[in-house]
Amino acid sequence: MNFNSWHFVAFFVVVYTVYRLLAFRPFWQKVALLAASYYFYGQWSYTYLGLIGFSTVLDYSVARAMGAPNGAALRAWLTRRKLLLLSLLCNLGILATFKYGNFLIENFNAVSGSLSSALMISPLDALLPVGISFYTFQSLSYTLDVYRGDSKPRQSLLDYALYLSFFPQLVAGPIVRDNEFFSQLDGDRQVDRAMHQAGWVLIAFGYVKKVVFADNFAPIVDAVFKAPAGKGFSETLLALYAFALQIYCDFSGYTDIAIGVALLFGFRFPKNFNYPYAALDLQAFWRRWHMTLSRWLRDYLYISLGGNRLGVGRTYINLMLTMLLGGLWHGASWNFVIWGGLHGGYLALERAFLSRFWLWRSDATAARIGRWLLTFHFVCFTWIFFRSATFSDAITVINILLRPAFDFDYQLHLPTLMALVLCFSMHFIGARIDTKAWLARQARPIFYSVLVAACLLLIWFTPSTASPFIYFQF
Amino acid sequence: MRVGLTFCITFVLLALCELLFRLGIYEPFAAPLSHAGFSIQLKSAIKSNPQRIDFVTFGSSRTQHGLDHVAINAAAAHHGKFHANMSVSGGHWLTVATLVEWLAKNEPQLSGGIITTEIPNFLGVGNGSYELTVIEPFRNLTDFDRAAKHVPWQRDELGTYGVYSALFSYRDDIQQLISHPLDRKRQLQANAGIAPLIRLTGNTPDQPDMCRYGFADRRTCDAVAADPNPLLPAKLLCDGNIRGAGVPSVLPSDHIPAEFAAQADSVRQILRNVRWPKPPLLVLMPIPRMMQEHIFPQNLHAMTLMMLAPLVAEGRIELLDMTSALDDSNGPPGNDCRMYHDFYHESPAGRAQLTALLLPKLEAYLYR
Repeated sequence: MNFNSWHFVAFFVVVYTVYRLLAFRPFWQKVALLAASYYFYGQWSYTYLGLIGFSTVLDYSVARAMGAPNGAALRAWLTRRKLLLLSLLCNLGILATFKYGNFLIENFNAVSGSLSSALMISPLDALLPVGISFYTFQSLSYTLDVYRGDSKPRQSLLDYALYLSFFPQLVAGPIVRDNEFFSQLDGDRQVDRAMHQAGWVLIAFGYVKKVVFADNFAPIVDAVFKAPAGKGFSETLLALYAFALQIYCDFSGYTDIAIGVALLFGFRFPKNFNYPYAALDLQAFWRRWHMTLSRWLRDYLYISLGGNRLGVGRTYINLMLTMLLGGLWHGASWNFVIWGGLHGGYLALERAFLSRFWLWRSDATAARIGRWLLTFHFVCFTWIFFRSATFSDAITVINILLRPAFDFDYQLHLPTLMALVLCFSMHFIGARIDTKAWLARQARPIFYSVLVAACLLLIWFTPSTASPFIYFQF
Repeated sequence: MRVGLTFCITFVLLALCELLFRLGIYEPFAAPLSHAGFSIQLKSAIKSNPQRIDFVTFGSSRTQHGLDHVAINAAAAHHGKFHANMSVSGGHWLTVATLVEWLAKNEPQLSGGIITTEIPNFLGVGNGSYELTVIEPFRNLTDFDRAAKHVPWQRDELGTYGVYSALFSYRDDIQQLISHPLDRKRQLQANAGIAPLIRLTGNTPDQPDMCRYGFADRRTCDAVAADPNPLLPAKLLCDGNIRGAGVPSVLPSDHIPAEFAAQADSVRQILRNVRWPKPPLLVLMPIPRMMQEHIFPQNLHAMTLMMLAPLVAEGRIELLDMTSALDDSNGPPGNDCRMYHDFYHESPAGRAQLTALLLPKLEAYLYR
């Protein structure tokens, strides 16, 4: 079930009504939310719901065993470390099988073929379960937190199942930490007027970002990236900028809706995007882009690898490894590895060298603009690898962009350029005054004007065919 | 409670926007040449025309191209009457029904008129969701049922949401306005200078004839296929898209098949609702024989006449069948390439010949 479907609207109305009717029965509220979440996921595949069920039971049991006294049943023959390993192996094993199985087989076959070996493995006939990367990471964070002693094992299986499958963030985040979720689950989850308005403003912005902007940028981007050979310079450059906005509007639109819906149910989720294209350096970009994944990678990977505690050289290696794995998290393709590697390399470069130069140290406007231009265009450059279907397509796009030509067609390209300028302007205004938060605080006439304006934009600019969210494939 | 209230208030405010659109708040900004825009210009021309309108012509782009409206109005003027052309590109049965109702309210003095149509229009009651944009400026506030009957609402087809909402009907027009605002400004400025009289009695610009493709038989489609820049109607017809999905290639010649019974009822009902002092002159516009034989189902002409027969018998319409009026008397029957601009629309020569055939009937039936 997509957020951008009538099915979801009807689903939301029913679930919300039931949830409110059960306001004084917290246990049944949780049961209702869990049933709704499983129904929500089951619309993609009831079979793969079994994977969520398996992760739920496994990590719930592992965490309970970790917290149990030394003599207790499971702990009698498994140490805490072994329990953690069991959880890691099972969760990452499932993720690797479904997400990276065919990638590994393809690479094995390629190597085998180049060595003239007859040994070839048939690809797996399995679809990628929607949201597997998100709920796997969320589940892992729980067992890791319990292992480290940062969290206590949850006693209720119902609570833990709801934590892992709560429908607003189930398929594409934000990746919520167990203590963030459970503290609210245990509270009264009252929704005051401010929360209510903030939730609706986020939902409205989310839908507009996804449907009005991302889905309308999609054909412009697809026209170039599906077959880049022979495309003009202006068309390709505009498509690249359009993709930068498409993926931002698509993903941040999804998270805005997710956070907004959760707010209406009384849950406050962490921010996932904070106007990333306004960042003046790449480190700041990663503090603003997919913030909950960055936080996860920092807390559970970078710091586990030693972070910056083991010397300068090791810091850069850790940074690089974290970003490479972060790239691979997005999908089983060398292009994602290159994308992650480029980000890791540039982050290391920024730390090691660039910060010594005037451009990076000065607070003058010219320096800030220069830093922004460099950072933004580096991010756009890396999007080429992220969006291209193959490495050779990415090289074709780069080759086109390395040969600037004034082939701008006013009739054809001007509307795209205007839409891009409008979007980037809104992005920078938002970064300065946090538009969503500001609007959420306004009096009712402005609040309702925002909702009506969003509805009108959706009526007029929804493309004829709905596109799924890009991050669903990750 | 709060969420319910938010839903309700937002819905009420949207309904208010819908009402404003229905009342015409957007009409001054619509593209003059879009489907909706053309209808708006037509409506405005009728309202601002100083002369009282006695007769009208309904039809589609075929009527715009196929009849000499200057000559028709001149013939009417000879008798002290005014004959307005209200044919709109994309007009079909829903357009006829809507315009009849609008004229009954706004031009009650109307004496009669011509309703042009053609045999393929009897294959289906609807003409796609874009007809909703054609009729939008003429709709009343409660005609949802009629619109839904002609253009069934489909959840995944946003164009069909126009059945219930003017906000949806103007989608394409608004998108174009936002993407090319300066073009729109220029179009509106250029359009402002066109007098209502020109709009109501003028002719479409001349178009070349069809002889570059030949016009004999199915081989014409091979010529269309080989053309790197083919005429769109010609291409659509050759691709077989006009006949519509599920329509049989042969129809019975002696009765109306059961699957067309509802269609027959619908057309008859629309025509029975035309309550002009003189029953409308229903003109079946020419269809090239090549299309009758190779594109449309066989016996379609016979089925059309069967559908209309009760109306003729009741005296509800005066039928003028010109389906074969432009057939070539010298060459192969029905295939005179000089008469058509494409498979569907007449060339200036076809227009002149058709009007020459029609005018005596108009003189005799309408104007005297």
